[in-house]
Parts: sequence; C-alpha cells; structure tokens
Amino acid sequence: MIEFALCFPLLLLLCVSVVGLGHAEETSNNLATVVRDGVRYASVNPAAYGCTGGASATNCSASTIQGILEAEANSVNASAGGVTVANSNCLWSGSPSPPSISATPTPPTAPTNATGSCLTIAYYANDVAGTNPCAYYNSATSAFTLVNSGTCTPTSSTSVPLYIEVTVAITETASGNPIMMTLNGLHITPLFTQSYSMEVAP
Amino acid sequence: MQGRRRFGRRDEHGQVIPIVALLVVIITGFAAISLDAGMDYAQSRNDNDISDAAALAGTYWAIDHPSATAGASLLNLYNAEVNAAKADGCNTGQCKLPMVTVGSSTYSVAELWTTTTFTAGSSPNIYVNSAGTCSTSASGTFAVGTCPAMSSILDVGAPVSDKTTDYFAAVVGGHPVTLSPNAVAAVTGSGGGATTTNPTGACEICVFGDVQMQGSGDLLQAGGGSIDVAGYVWFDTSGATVHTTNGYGIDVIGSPQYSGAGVYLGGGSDLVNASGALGIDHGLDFGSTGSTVEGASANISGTVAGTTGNTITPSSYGTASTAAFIDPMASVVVPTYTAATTSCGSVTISTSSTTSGCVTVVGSNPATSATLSSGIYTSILTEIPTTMNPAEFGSLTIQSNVTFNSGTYLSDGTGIAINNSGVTLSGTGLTFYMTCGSGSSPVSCGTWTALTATCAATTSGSSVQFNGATAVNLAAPSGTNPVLFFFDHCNSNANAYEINSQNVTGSPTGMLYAHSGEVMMNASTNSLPSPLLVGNVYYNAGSITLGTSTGAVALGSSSSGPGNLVN
Repeated sequence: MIEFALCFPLLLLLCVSVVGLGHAEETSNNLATVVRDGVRYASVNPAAYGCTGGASATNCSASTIQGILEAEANSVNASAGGVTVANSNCLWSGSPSPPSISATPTPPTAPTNATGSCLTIAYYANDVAGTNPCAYYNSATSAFTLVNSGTCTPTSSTSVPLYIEVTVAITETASGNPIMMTLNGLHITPLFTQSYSMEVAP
Repeated sequence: MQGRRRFGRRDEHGQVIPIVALLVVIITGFAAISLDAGMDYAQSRNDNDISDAAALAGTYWAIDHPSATAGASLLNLYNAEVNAAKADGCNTGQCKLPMVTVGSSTYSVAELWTTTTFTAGSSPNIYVNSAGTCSTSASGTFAVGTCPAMSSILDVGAPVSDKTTDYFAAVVGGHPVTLSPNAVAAVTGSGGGATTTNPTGACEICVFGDVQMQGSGDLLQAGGGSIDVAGYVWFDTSGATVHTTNGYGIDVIGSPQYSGAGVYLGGGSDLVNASGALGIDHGLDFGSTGSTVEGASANISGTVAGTTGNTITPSSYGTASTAAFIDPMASVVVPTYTAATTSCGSVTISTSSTTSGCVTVVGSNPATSATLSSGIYTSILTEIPTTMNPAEFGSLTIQSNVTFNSGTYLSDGTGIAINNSGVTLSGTGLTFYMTCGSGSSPVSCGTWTALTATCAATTSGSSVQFNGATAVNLAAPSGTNPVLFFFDHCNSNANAYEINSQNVTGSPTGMLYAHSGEVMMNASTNSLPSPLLVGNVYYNAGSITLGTSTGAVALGSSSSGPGNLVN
C-alpha cells in the first residue's frame, strides 16, 4: 500500500500530462485549420478586412477576413464552445507591426485582451522570404495601415505579387484542464501561434 | 494468525514497483507515439497547405499573363511556385517545392496540364524546370521551345517532397515517412452549375456616369470584361482600387470634376490596375502620393499632374484618346411580363393574417407563413415568412424572409425596401423590373406595352433599398442577358440600388442594369449583383467591393476556377 501510495501520484501525473499534451496538440491543429481557411478567403478577398468595432469586436461580418476566422474558430471546436478569436492586433515585440514574412515568425507577446487572443492580417508586396510587410490591418482604426514606407494596396498587381499572411495567437484557457490549471497557477500561460501566407488572387 | 498476516505482507512487498515501472514505460511509449503522430499529422497538413499556396501562385501568374506565347520561358511561373513555398517555410531543410520523385530520382519541376484538365491519377503534359524551360517528361530533355502558350495551360501543379521529423520513433529504429502532397489549381473555369461569361460581351462594369470612392478598401473590379466609365473616377480616399483581371482593360472617357482630371487619385495609396489596356481621357491627377496607375499598355490623354511619389506603368505610356463606348444593353427590350389582371389592393402579412383574396396563410393566430398569388398589389408588407409569385406592386416592404417563385416582378411605385435585420431573400429564375413610375401603374420609356404610360427622359422611379441585415440569395434566369434587376432606361433614381445596412450578404447572381440610376452604398458590402451597368456609382463607406475578379455570372452552383484548387 505504501509503495502504491507513493507511485500513484506519479502515475496520475503521467496520465494527466498525456491528456494535456494531446489537448495542446489538438488546439494547435485547430488553430492551423482556422488560419488556413482564413488565408484562403483573404487571398481572394484581400481588402475584406473591414470589421468595425475595434479590438473588442468578436462578431465580425461573415464577409470579412476576421469574420471568417472567428466563424471557423468557433466551428472547429464547437462541442467545447468554440475558440474565441478577438479582432485585436497581436503585439510583435512591443509594436503592432508584423514581422517579416516567414514560416516561423517570432511569436507575439501574449495577448493582453480579456479573451486571450489576437490576430494580424499582414500584406507583403514582394515574393521572397524575408521581405518586410508593406501594410497591415489595424483593428484600432479598422483601417489599412502602411508600414516600412510601403505603398501597397490590398489587391493584386500585375507588376509585383502581393502576399497576405494571417497570424492568429491564442492563450490556452485553464477551465477543465488540470495541466493548464497547474501552469496557470504557476503564472505560466501557454501561447499558441499559427501563421500562413498565400499570394493574393488576381 | 499473526504469522500468516506477516507472511502475507512479505508476499506483497515489491509488487507495486515493477507494475508501476511497467506502466510508466507503456504510458510513456503511448505518449511518445501520440506526439510523433500528432507532429507528423501537423507537418503533413502544413505541406498540403504549402502545395496549395504554390499551385495557386503558379495559376495566378498564368491568369495574369494570358498573352504569353508558345515557346516563351515560363521561369516566372516556376518562380511564383518557389516563392510561395518559401513564404510558408518550404525550400529550407527537407521540404522541397516543386519536386517530383520518379523512382529513386527527384526533379525540381512545376507541372502543367495542357491537353485535358487534371483528373485524379492523370499525369501532367508539360514540366517546367528552374530555368523556365519545358519538357514532356520530368526526366526528359528541357527546351524553351517546348513551353506551351498561356492560353493552352489548363491546370498548374505544385508537388512537394518532404519527410516527417520523428522525435521518438527514431529512438526505437523508426524511419521518417515521405510526404509528397501535390496540389493542382485550375487556370480555366470548368464544372459547376449553369455559368455564363459576361453576357454583355463588352464591359462587365459599365458606368454611364461617374464613380466616386469615399472609403479605404473600396474596390471596383471585373474579370469577364472591361471596366468602362463614361464620366470621371474620383478616389476621394486612400487605399481604394479599380482593377481588372484576365487581360481585360479599363477605359475612363472622363469628364472633369473638381480637380479637372478624368481620373483623380486624391487620397494616396490608391490603385488603378488594368490586366489589359488602360485608357484615360481628360487627364490624370495624383492629389497625393503612393498611388499606382498601371496596365499592360496605357494611353493617357490630357494633363498628367502630381506624378512625384506615384507610379505610372508603363512609364512610356501613349497619349491617344480613348474611344467612347455604348450601352451594350441599349437595344435590349425590357423584361417580358405577363400583366396580371387580379387586383389585390394593399396587404399586410402578419401573425394575425387570415386566408383571403390573394393571400393564403398557414396557421391561425398566429399565422406562421403566407403565400401571395399573382396579381396587382398597391402595397405589400411582409412580417412573417412569405412566398411570392410573379406580381406587380407599388411598394414591397419586407420585414421577414421572402421566397420568390421564378418569373418577373414589376414595381410601378416606390419599389422594394428591406426594413428589418436578419432577412433572407431567396429564389431563382428572377427578374425585378423597376419602372420609372412612382404612382400605381407601370411607366416606361416606351419600350413597354400599350398598357404603360411613357415617362419623361429621366424620371425618378422605383428603387431597391436595404435598410437591415439581409442575405440576398437571388438568381436571374439563364439566357443571353441574365438580368436580375432591370431598372427602366429612364429610371433616374439617385438611390436606385441603395445599401444602408452593414450586413448585406449573400450571392445575388445576375446583372444589375440601371442605365440612368445610381448605385449608392452607405455601408460596407461585397454582395451586389454583377455585371454592373449603371448610371453612377457612389461608395459612401469603406471596404465595399463591386464586381468579381473571376469574370463569370454563376447561375447555379459555383464553378471550379479560374484560380481554384482542383486537387
């Protein structure tokens, strides 16, 4: 009994860890689905970023990129209440400007809004990895904001291909997940980030 | 007894430890397998996405360069795929795109289908290598002369070659799994339901007056015909766009507005982008910086001002005048309408309605739905779901879902107003004829029947107003001129088709024809009928999209392409 009493917590921790890791993997895959479908919509509707209501808007029109992301996020995990994606800019190293186009962008800082999620819709007016963005969607103003002296517009061009990249970041919620509850108790908030880019359709 | 108990405890000593050790190994093993499988699945799907993006990028390049001839290098098509893959992290490490594996050999080639469209298991007809030269075999002899004309490329493929990164399987001697997704995208449209190309055979967006854009992200586009504007185009905002695809051009005949130019880009970072020829008369004025005016070729007559900080492509544009255009629907008679003879008066359809006259109700106190028979209605107000049959009406005020049975509907009064949110309008085979009457009988320019009065040359008549969130799922009949909304030639209502609600959605399919009327958009939307042949277009909000880049009027299910993934 004594040995079992000593070993049981270890076994329990191991089992819970397996479940927690599986849940994290599922969350990551769900997020990849959300981002992929959002970018596909954005590639043919690159100017459809006009969700009004600012950073707190979580019910964007279905004819906007943000609306597609939000609807998709709710549908991939509908049985668990869906995943909330707020119409809030991710903060990249303290700045709202997105990083260079890349498969593995530096993760944004943890979302600070109440729902624990953020997104970036960034536009790259060139076609090579490492290119700086020329504009991004600014949720604070619901407008297209030029950066890096960019001159792009949210449509394709015959002279320079335009890429659109969507990044979504969410913090894992603790409810019902003992692993996350433990991590949250230790003031550790797991952050999941997914990015995907496509060329804008002509 | 004591001896037996002590003996029993001695027997239990050390039993749990080996069991727990075994369990730890088993659970850890399952966890490792699960993690490896999960990571492999994620990598597999990521490779699929990379292949999708690359195939579409290759297709987009083909769509944007329709005039490329046989024997020309396809280096840029190849590079489009490579760059799309790079943007998503491929072509570093083990991931390679495009990369075809034949036997034990690999070849870095993009794939083209030219004789027949892609079907599952079919092989490409042409391969393009990193030099832009072509061959009929991935391992064959490549030459630029083998490259096909752009017009003959049907589908473009982007194969990926990658291997899984196993973390734990390698510990026990497992080997990486080869991943080789191969997306194919269509350059030409195919499949789908009843689809017709631009029925006007000329301009897909024809504006007989002026275009004014007031909001960032406003977009006027066409892919099945040109954009022709008889008046001026005024960008009174930044970040607005007028563009065409599939080799079609943009013509602005021009009439001076306040800056004195036919095209005035006043907000900065605006774009005029013609896939084909660009023609601007009466001058071009950049009122700010960061704007681009470009076309496959360009003629700009009149004064060109404010070019510093802006771009005109090609920079060596011509100065020839642009030929005026005519209304391609000018000789088309108004929609056929079988005049109703039953007078139905004014009706209100609500939960307290009962079956009477032209109204058949389902349910009683409350009525749950209703059907309106064909007839002549002074006014109609729907507060519960209603099915309508072809009818003549002065006003149709909609506050609940309406299903229109196929046929022609005629307004001889103020027209249609959607005054509630959450309304769905549905039906196929429909034409709404908005006459220039504002009373109780049809009034037309004279191409109507002997029953109608003749209106003045321009008379403000019936309109369509969206004052609440509406899903517009209406489709025109198939045929030579699939017109969904036909405003009489003389109906000059300044708000003929008016969007006042933020959430007008859906896919209205068919033409919006309002030769003398104006499309007024006071809220963001991308759900307007197309082609669009109208008097004036006024964007009074941001992020409004008019027209499509695909160049087709789908009258049934969606077509596949151009620019859609087929594998």
